[in-house]
Amino acid sequence: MAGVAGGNDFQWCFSQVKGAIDEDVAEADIISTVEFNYSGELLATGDKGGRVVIFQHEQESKNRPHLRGEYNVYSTFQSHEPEFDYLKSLEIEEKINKIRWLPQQNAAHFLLSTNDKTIKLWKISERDKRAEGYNLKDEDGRLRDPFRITSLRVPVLMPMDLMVEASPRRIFANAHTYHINSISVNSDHETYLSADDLRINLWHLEITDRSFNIVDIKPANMEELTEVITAAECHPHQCNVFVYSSSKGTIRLCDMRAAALCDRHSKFFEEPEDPSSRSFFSEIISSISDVKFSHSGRYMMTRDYLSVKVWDLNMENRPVETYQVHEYLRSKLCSLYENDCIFDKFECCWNGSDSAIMTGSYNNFFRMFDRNTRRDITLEASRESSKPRATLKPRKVSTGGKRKKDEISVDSLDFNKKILHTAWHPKDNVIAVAATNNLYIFQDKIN
Amino acid sequence: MLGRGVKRKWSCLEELEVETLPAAAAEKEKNEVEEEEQKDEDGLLASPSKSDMSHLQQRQRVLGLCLEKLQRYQAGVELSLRRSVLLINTLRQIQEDMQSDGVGTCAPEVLLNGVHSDSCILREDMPVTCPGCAEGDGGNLSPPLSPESSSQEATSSPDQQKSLPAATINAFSDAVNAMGYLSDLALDDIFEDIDTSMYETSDLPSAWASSSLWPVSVSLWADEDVKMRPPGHASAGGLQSCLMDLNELDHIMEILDPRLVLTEELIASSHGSGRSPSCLRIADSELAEGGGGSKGREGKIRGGGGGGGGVGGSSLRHLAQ
Repeated sequence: MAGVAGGNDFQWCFSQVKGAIDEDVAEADIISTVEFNYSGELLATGDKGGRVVIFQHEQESKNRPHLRGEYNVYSTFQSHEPEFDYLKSLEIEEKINKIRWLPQQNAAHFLLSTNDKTIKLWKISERDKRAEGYNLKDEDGRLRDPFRITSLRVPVLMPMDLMVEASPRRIFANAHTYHINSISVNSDHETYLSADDLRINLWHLEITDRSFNIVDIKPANMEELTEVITAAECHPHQCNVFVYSSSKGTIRLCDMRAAALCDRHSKFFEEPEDPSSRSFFSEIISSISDVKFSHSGRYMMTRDYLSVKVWDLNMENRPVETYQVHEYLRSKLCSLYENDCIFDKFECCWNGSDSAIMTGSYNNFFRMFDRNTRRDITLEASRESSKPRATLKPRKVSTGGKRKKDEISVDSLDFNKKILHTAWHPKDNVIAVAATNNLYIFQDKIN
Repeated sequence: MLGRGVKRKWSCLEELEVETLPAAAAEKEKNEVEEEEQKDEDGLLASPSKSDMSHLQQRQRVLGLCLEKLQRYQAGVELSLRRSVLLINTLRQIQEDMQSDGVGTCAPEVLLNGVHSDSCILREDMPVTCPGCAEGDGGNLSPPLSPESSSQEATSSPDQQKSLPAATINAFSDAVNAMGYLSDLALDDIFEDIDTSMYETSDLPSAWASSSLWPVSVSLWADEDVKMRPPGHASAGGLQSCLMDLNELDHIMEILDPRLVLTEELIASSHGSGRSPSCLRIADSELAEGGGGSKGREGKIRGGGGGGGGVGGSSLRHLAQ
């Protein structure tokens, strides 16, 4: 089931696309995060407008057995509002930076969503019954005069149309001076961490007025600042272990058992720089934009500007696997620096069995790498190929020399169309790809 | 006012500059459309590839863009600590590169220029190492130099900068050095020089004036340097690249401009006026911190960090201004 595609095993085909088709995209509609829940039944997206949209997987219908069922809107709510910090004269964007689901423990679902400053815990619950027969209020909903109520009536539960409610249960505010880039629910299901540019805090999910600062890399003198935290994640099984990545391309693994303050790391992952490829942009492109543990917890994956690397937690001096995402951009770095693309933060994700990884690129391209066969493939999220069950054709970017048929030259890539956020269903070969304001869902074709 | 002949030349040059120096051009546009990110509008890359560009040209371009991006950043258009740290580290790297270049590869005549451009980078590095942190950290960062040491360093600095294998100095001590160098100069004098020299270009050899878009910068150094630099001497390419470096002084002065005020304050606070300005600064930042409630003590389990949070906060506030 591992295959990425290309071979005989299976191919990716189009399933759905969400979002408006309009050419001019409203800034608020741009998707800023995508996340499946633990079962894969729900898929949440957050956007720059502070909204969270949750899609639910519908059971396959008997009429169309070839389709595995679609994701349809389950709930939409405004998670964050724009704010203004008057003391600092700073606008706080409503943009949802990250969404993380909590493992399901009862009928309701819970998720954490965060913008730059504030993390919120949301409960998403269903209601399909309502209580009827109160005699405390009249038809208009006004309370009746207690003296006129002469009998006691016990309300009865009546079935009604399914209603999905999203309600904020906890608001974790005022703990981050810098911009929150990551949140990660711990495997103890009770705590989670949140990371900003310089600090990492540990929270209890029930307690909002207190958090523990577990990492602080802020130098006493800000002039000495040369490095920021770019991402952080808890280990999937060991609740005492977490990692964080930095803008210098390094990853630190910390053990909370060692000390309450994890300023000193337990492990330090860094690959020595190749002097031959050194340029003015070396540091910028080595900055890690995302770090993800494998489901097994043995590996972790990091994404930098041009590549994605898989690290064995037991080997710190170099990654066990390195995959080039778009090496052809190396000669374009100066222009990418000029138009600020070089600061884009691409994310990455594992498939359910840790045998394949996926990450995004420009021109609405995204890349998959099969770790066993070492095969890779470039696919495109586009309206053109968005016919039901249409097989995705592999794309190729010509790298110097003559451009072959069906290849696209580096110069004609559209750098405004970037795929920063992708998610892989935790069990099945279903992927969600955010392309600006559209969410594409692809799945493997069942032959 | 400018002489008539010079003026005509000037306008031609300006056009030329717009073509050859995208950074400088963007700089000009920026003043008009401050908040528009015109660059991001065109996602397609239409610029020459790296292979076409010599190392020096690329360095020049990256430097220009660095400064431009940092300035845009300082205008409060966009706030990302990651981005600014990466930009500053790139700037530091370019600085190192220039220093090693200036000592190692340039021809003797060019060396002077090279060193000058280095020193200008040094000075520019001073404000740039701390985009926004300068104000915020002004409190806990008591001026790194005592007046005596600063004057000491300043007197020795021209020699130092010529003779030191600059790559060996780390960026921060450079910055401190530069600060010392700066603080010794009477600030008014700098501006006096600029203003007057701006209008005295006709006094310079015409070739020099025509190849330097900003003769302004020349007056920052001893006069003999200018005279020691016969326009014809250096090879065309080397001279040009060095002049391009010199042109950056324009940017640098723009960056320095608001910063000088800050430096002045720092100096003032270290001088006889006592420590009250910097104390006030601390109080101010802590006030902002506590009042904003952005990070109360509850979030911290370590003692020293609370003030740090305040510093960061007020630095952000500074950035937004």
